Amino acid sequence: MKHTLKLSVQPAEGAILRIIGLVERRGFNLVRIDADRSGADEQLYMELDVVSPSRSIDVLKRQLEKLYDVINVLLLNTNSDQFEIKESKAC
Amino acid sequence: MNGAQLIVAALEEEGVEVVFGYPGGAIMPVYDALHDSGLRHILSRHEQGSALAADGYARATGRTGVCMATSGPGGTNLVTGIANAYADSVPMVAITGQVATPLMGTDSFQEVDIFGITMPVVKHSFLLRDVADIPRVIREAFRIASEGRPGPVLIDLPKDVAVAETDAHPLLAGPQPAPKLPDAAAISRAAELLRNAERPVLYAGGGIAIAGAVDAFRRYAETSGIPVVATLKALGALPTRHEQFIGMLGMHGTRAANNAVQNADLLVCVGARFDDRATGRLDGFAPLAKVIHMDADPAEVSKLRVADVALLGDLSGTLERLPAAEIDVDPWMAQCEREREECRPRYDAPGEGVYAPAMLRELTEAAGDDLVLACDVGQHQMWVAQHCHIDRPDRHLTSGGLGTMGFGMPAAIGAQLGNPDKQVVCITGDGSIMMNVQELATINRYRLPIKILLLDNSCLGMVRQWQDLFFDGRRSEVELDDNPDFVRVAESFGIPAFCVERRDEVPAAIDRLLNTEGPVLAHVRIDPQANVWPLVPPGKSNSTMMEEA
Repeated sequence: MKHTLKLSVQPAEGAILRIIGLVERRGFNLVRIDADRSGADEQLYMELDVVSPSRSIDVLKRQLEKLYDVINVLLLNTNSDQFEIKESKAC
Repeated sequence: MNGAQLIVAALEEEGVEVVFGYPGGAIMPVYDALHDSGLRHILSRHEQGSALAADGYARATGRTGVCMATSGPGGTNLVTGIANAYADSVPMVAITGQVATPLMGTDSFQEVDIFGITMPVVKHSFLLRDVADIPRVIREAFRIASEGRPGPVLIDLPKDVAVAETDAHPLLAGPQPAPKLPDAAAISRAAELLRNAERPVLYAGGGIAIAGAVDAFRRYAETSGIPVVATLKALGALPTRHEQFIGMLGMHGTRAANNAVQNADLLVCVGARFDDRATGRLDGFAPLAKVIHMDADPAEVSKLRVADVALLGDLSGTLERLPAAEIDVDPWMAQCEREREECRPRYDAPGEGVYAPAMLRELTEAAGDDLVLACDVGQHQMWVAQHCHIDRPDRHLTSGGLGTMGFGMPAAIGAQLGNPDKQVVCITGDGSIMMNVQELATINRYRLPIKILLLDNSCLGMVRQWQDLFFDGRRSEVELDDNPDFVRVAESFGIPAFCVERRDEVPAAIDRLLNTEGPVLAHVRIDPQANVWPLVPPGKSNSTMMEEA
């Protein structure tokens, strides 16, 4: 399934590489990247379309949120809530 | 003052006392600044030794380890140690010299993009382009390395920035932020799961030691009466001789610990991360259990196993707020204890040769309470985990996540420097010791009283075992029968050494090892055919344990 992530990022050396590297390393394929730092606030805004056959997008979102340059991450086309109680598949 | 002097002053402001490193061209300004500082610099003989020693120092003291190296090969030699700290969540600050900024990107002498190379294995990194940023960057680096789930932070320092003059001063460390705690609703949901459980198990992970939550964990375990299993890195969270401790789980865990997890109806995961060596085949792991997952790192929750309740935040605070199970766990505990007793290892192996598991057990029985074990990686690492008495997790230093052969000796060096009064024993193998054998020179240089127990089976035992079991016995590049004479190797570095070949020599050997003043190496010949049992074959469920035939 394809997911779109929207990130606000503090522009710092290596920030874009850090984000792209994490997404691919964690098993997601990038199919679209937009990055824009031309706004008056000089902040970096990124949109990523990612796909993975098996990995959880909620976990990827939390992994991106851990990066120190990342201010916040929005998951656009999903209705999942990463902290809701879910029944364990194994039960 | 220049940038290098400011870095050194800022390290002192952070309370750093010991720095592990190796000088070279691009980092010479920092080494010059060390002359006028109160920092104690420990010269390793390879930068990997510096990084792993900083890691061992951090694990054994709970403080952030600091290592430094020059640009190019100095930095790349640090990488394994940085990755090791990343894999085991160890707080570390690594400082690398870099070529001057006008030369960066021109393929200049000893230039590599260490900032880029280390990106996948650091918690964060900085490239210092402006001398005025030094106070902020050092402060941030130490904060990031130690807060939440700790990890390594790299600071790359170009030479022109190191020699630039500045009026800046180190920033004072601010107050620690209040620890985060799970919300009350999540605690209530966890309490309800505990109330409804009949066969709960506490699954202890390395996060307990990292969070300084050993005491809180023990209180919760003893109050609740719930059986405890531990990962490799959590051994000692409950002393391994404690009546509630069922054993290590996973690939080389005990049958009792794995059965407890397989039969559990509630798994309370405390600072663990469902690592594949602990879980075996994931879809067969704890198939009957609901999961409460406590962790400081939100990204670990439901990464590999969906958590029914996530308790995110400081482990001590979480454990203190979690009510003990209001259930009668005695019948379940009795079942776990019975299984533990049924699968107790035996130490009466036939023959007159040294039986390594028995020797390791006798070693920890003979040593005092202040023993710190620094392990290398391989069969001996698993025998230590299975057979040694471990009373606290910060007394058992082991490369769990990365599995770095060569970790043992540098880690012992770091642990001894951080704990001059403790008895530090390095357990190593004939494969592992050669990975960082040059650090014998460091032990000798500082006359560190480290005791080295070298278990020599003249092969790469764990690889040989897997080739025998899973590759039809087709042994490939595992024979090390051309090893050097390790006694003469140690002696040539100025470290006394002796050889142990028979079982009846073991008691005297342990006595000599522990009671020799200063460093000493015991070279112990063991059976080249000995295996680590039990074993969950790779890719199989933990219910599929192989035992010794």
